[in-house]
Amino acid sequence: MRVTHGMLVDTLLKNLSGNLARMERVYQQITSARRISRPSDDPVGTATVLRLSSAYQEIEQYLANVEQARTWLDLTDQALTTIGQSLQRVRELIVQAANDTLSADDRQAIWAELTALQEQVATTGNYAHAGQYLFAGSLTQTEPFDLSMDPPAYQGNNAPLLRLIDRGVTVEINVPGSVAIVPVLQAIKQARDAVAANDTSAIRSSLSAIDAAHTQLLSAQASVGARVNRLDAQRDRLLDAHTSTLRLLSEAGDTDMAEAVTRFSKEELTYRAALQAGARAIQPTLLDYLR
Amino acid sequence: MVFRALETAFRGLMAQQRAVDTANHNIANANTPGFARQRVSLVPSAPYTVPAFNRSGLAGQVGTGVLVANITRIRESVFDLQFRVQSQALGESATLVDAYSQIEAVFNEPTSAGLGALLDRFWRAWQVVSNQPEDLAARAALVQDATTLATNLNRMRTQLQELQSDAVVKLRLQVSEVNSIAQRVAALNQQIVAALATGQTPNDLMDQRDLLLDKLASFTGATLRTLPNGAINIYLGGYPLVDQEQAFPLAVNVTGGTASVLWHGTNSPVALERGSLQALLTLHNTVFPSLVQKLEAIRDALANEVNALHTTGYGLTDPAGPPPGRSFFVVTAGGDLVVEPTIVADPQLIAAADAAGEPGNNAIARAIAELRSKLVLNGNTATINDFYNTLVADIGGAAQTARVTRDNQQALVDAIDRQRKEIMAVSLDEEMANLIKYQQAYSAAARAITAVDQMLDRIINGMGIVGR
Repeated sequence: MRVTHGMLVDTLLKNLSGNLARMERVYQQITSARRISRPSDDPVGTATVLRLSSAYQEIEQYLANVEQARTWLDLTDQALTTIGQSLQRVRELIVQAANDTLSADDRQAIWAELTALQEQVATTGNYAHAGQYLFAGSLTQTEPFDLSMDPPAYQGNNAPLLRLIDRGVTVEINVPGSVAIVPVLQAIKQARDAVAANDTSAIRSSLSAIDAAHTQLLSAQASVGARVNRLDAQRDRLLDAHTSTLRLLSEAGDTDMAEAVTRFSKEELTYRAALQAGARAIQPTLLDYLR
Repeated sequence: MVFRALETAFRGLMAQQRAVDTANHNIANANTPGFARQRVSLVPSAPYTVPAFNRSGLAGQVGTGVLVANITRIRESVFDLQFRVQSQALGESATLVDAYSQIEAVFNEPTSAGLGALLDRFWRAWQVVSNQPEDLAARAALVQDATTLATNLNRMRTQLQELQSDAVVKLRLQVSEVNSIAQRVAALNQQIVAALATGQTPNDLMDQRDLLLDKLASFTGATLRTLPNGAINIYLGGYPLVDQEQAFPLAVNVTGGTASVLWHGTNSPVALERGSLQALLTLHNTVFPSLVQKLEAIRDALANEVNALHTTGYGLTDPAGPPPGRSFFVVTAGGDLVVEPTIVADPQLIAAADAAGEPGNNAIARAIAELRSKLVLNGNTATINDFYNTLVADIGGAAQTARVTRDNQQALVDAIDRQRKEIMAVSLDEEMANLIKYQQAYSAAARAITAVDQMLDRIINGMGIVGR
């Protein structure tokens, strides 16, 4: 084989540039911490990374939706509990008022407290979260209970508020005021009227209306609790998916640092050796030894 | 007889001098691209028959010195042929690699700024609106995200179209280069034929022509034929690009978005077969249009699907009655995707609700958010995101194939070039050794002349003066 100095230089340059190109690639993988910097590095891997990061974004959003729905349902549950406590007090007052020995003045005092409780229930029904009324159905910008009326009139609707918590899966996050609060207000109004009329038999019969309203309230609360449980289960599922997607994404797209650094050191060693050997190989010619 | 010895020594002097010249020429051209080292072929000159009395009939022959038969270039045309065939494929794949790395830059994947991520943000923004349909901030954010998505989709489409027209610019440049090479080869043919006719070997002209042919190979799939008179004809698809001293130029024609390379002054397309010209035609006529078409499919799917739902919905301020039928996206006459200007001006007009006057109603926003998983593309078998991911993977695959082909082809061309250089490249060591060899021979010939000179001196000045 006949080798000339030009060929030596060619080989040296070709190998050095190949070496640098490989070094640059590993360097990029190390500094960006990403294994794939363009689709042609790994077409299938790129598609996987794109699909997984899309899935990751989707899961993140569903998680955010679940958190928001959960907040809304928690607030609803708290409001319903407050109303339930008021209703409990109403019941006690009515049992007290049904006592034949009570004077008209005493009943007047009870009536005043009942009126205050009715207003409190209606005010609780007007709770808003982030500018949205909890109990107004889909008319979230309308105050559901008009306190200027007696009993306060419901101004919302019965529409459910739905939130996406997974692909094609929704959860209803609201309890329309008409379902849980209107019967309570009506029962209190009935009791107040009976107390005002000083009519013990009417007072007694209003107890059953109170109990019926309480039952409705409890069933609404139970349904809220069931939905909270469902959200918790969904959140756990989403968090699992979140973790596993993140892991898969990292496997598909992240640089294996130990491997990359090892490879970089190897390339570096080769590069240095090539430079050293090259520097010595291309220098001498016959001219150096002729005199 | 002594005078003949003077002539023999003189011939040696001349021949060694010519050999030194050639070595010098080689050294001077050690780094000239395409130069093949040259060798002086030395042959003994015709011997002189010496009559002799003691031999019957035949006389003895005496050498008369050396002659330079010719100066040849050391070159193996088989390797030239292989080099050019592989260069054609290299030119083609190198052009594809360049184009695909630009395409990959346009798509800028996988990053958090690519179209895939922007689609995700767009779908998320609709969910955020569905969580709080009455919230103006969420609506404004949706308008932002939708505008970013549309702008980037438009940018990618425009950039691909620019790359497509760049391909024509490159095509024109390369065709004019091919024309220039053809003309120069034709001119060299003329000189070479003329030189050969007078019995000279035009080594350097032939090297120049070979270098041009090497260059030409990366542009087209040209075939060559060497004629007995020394001219080389170049053919493209059986038609001559160069016929002896005549070159037939090519021209670029773009009609209706399709580019073609024609024989100049005709309507007949040139059969390029391989090389970078063919790659540029493929890119311009097939690759870029298909990519643009796929982006437009994404654009249309987005506009149609989102609008189909959006037109049935109500914004926050829309009155009761039939839905206002407002589109969310508009495709302009220029093919750009834009968010409906009235919505950009007033995000309350985003139709999140399927009933008027219900600010908490998010039925339409939810339905649009769910479009992310609806199979709307590729004959209703792929979601918009899937379609896009597949597109990116396809581009990556094509780019990878082009790169692997280019690398392999480069290795092949390098290997052939190396084999070629083993034969034709100038070795300085070798030339130095030759230089010394010929220099020594030259000195020896000069010394021989001195010897003859002294002999003549003896005869002329030293004879016939006996007794003095």
